[in-house]
Amino acid sequence: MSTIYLIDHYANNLNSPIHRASALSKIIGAALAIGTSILTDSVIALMVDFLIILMMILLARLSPFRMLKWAIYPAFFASIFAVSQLPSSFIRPLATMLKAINSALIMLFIASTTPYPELFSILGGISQTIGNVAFLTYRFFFLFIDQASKRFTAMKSRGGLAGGWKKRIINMANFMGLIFVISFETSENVYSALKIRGYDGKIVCNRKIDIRLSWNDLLPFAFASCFLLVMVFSLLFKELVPA
Amino acid sequence: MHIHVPDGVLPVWLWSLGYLLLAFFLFISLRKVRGDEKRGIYAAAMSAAMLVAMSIPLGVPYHMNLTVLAGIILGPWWALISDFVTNFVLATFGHGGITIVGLNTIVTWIESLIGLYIFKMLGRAFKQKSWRFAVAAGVSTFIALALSALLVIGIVAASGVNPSEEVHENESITIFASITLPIALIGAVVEAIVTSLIVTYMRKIGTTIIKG
Repeated sequence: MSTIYLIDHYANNLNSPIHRASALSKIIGAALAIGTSILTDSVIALMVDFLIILMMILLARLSPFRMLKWAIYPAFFASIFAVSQLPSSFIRPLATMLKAINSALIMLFIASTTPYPELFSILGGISQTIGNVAFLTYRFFFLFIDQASKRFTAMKSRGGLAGGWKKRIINMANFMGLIFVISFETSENVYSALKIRGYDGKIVCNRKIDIRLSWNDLLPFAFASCFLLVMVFSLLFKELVPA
Repeated sequence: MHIHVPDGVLPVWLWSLGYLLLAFFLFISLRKVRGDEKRGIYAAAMSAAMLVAMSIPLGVPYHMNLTVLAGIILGPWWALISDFVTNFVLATFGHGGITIVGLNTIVTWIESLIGLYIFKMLGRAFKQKSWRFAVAAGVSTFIALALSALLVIGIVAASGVNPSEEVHENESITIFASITLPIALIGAVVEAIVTSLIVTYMRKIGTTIIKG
């Protein structure tokens, strides 16, 4: 099952105090965690942030192993960057890797505890057109994954992956082409359906970032305060938390 | 190719510049696409396809992009919006830092633009040939991805990949380039073949999504 599929499932179907908290408090916490990554190169500060994020993940009833597994994929790409920093010391590449894992984990945490339409409402704030494209992308993604998985099973069961490698490559390319065509046909059908309902380039999405705070927001704000403390401490006492 | 750099590694001036450029070009693109809502639906479909492609690990630090295909199908302005949405969603699961979304969108958009214009140019040059779409799609994808790999290396060089005083900066950027370029070029060849086959298939079945 794809990462986005599971993230969407976690955001919509899990129940924890963090899931019930407003998107605003979680975004503030994430911004402060990312702020620490931007402002400090201290491995100790980044390690503390890592532990705080792990605690948040546990409290949100998410699997820390699965989150770490997903975070390793972006960290794998960042490893090229880290390797190129090796000539100077081992500390800087370590800090780079920690920054990659922390950023990935905090973003995964936000996405796994906040439904995507709420996150897309941020884009809707920039422009309605962009918000619409984001919202439809989210809708199409699940349709395409579903279509692709059905067609792939059909192709496999009819011997599409048997035979020589040349035949396999051609069959795979035809499969991808077919998925593209189906994707665009689906989008045309959606467009026709929307047009009948009076679509003029605007989809009214009622999911907005909720700025009303409740008791559930205490927990994300407590974590946000921890990130703020780590950031301030690492900046004020550089000699105690060296890079 | 886009920059798989976490938050906090590139200097603030660089990623802020990325966001400034993005804001400027998005402003223009939103004016240009006004009234063309059908392409907007295509843009969403293309973003979803790019998301599927970009989230498939291939075992090496490379993944398919399909940004050139996005440029060919959507045109320059919708491609920018589609690239932005894709990079934003990717950043929500840690694939590239959230502060790098601006730079990444600009880099992937440049890929879409280069690919689109080379595709058009080659399509015109080989007007009478039946294989023109396959060749034009493959060649344009390869050139666009190779150039964007150089652009990414240029951006990292501009950032001062390793601000450490004891190491000469060139040494770090040489290591970065020597790891990145071979992977990017092999990936560009694979993606060029795949894009070419997809375009050929689309033309074969007579879809009008790709015009030319």
